[in-house]
Amino acid sequence: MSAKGLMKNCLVVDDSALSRTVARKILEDMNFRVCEASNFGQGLKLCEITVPDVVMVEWEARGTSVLPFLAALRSLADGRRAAVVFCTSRTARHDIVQGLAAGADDYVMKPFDSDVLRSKFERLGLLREEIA
Amino acid sequence: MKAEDIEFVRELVHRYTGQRLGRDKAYLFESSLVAVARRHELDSPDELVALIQARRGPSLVREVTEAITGKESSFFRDFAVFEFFRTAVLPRFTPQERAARPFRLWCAACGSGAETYSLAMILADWARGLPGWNYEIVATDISTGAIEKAKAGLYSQFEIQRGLPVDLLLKYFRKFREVWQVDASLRARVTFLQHDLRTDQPPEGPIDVVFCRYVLTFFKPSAKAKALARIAEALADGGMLFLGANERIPEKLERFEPLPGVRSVYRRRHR
Repeated sequence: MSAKGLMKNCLVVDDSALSRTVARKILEDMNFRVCEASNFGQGLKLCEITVPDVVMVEWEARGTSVLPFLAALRSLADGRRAAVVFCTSRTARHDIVQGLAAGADDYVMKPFDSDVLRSKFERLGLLREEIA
Repeated sequence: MKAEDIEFVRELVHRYTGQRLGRDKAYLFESSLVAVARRHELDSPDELVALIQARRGPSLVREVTEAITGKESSFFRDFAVFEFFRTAVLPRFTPQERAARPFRLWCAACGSGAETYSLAMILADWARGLPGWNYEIVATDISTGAIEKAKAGLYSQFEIQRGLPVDLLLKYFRKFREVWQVDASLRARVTFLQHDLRTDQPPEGPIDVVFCRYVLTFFKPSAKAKALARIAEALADGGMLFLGANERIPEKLERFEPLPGVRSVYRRRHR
């Protein structure tokens, strides 16, 4: 299999272009194929084509909450397969509690760096195939 | 920074990590040194270099080389080691055998406390399931700055996101303005002491498990042997010593035997 075939997909849904760029840079260094969406509707369309291995989402994009997007993602045929990581500037305890209750697999607080993302992704088992 | 200090730091990093830093990259590691200096309440990297040159201790060398190479100690560093401790080591110390005295853990060269609190979280969860089972944690470091930082239990958002699972963050930390603090109940479980592994008597024993990771590498062979002798003295028969992933005990030290099937964990032989 080619190296490309082993690459995992990550979708980043965030209405801040800067946030998406920062995430893309780190994810590509970790050997992910990255897709970006600036709103949840666009993100869902991409998931309908292929459910990514991991989705990184903000709490809100363009004034819309992430929750309906999560429900729609989970109802797709393969939708439970994706790891969902909140990647957000909401950093209060109750935000984290709420995010996990909404079905997030992990929670990253902005600002973050590559070590943070690497340690979170390692824990989610998303980096294992690097060795293969 | 003075050219000779930059040279000294480059040499230090090379000796202990094998990494060669370019001379043109000095501006990059200077900022790491400023951060370490600040943690130790020093005014400048120059003072930090002077302190290392005055042999103020291996844990400081570790802190500096780790800060420069971006391998600062994090919560649950080498996660599998902590899983091994929880699933294979703790069950050996069952309440029946332990009724006479509490389980004792010593974190030697505890640095900023991330490793100590990782173990404290595991022990708190473990004890909750075993009424009547008790434990004590002693954490030591040569640096009073490190001890103060560890005691306070305050960590930046970056620090708490490296290695610490989010469920444990919610369970054992409180947000305090821009930083996160270890719960008072968990902090109260740890006794922090300033201690030089090479010269000071070990904490009161017998100790069941010692974590002494990523520090013996920075000792001279003679000092390393002395430190290991102290640890052997403190450990109960059959007690365990956890070293860093790449660290080994010289074979001639007969008081320890490697634990089969797992790297860098040793058992104290029976006296």
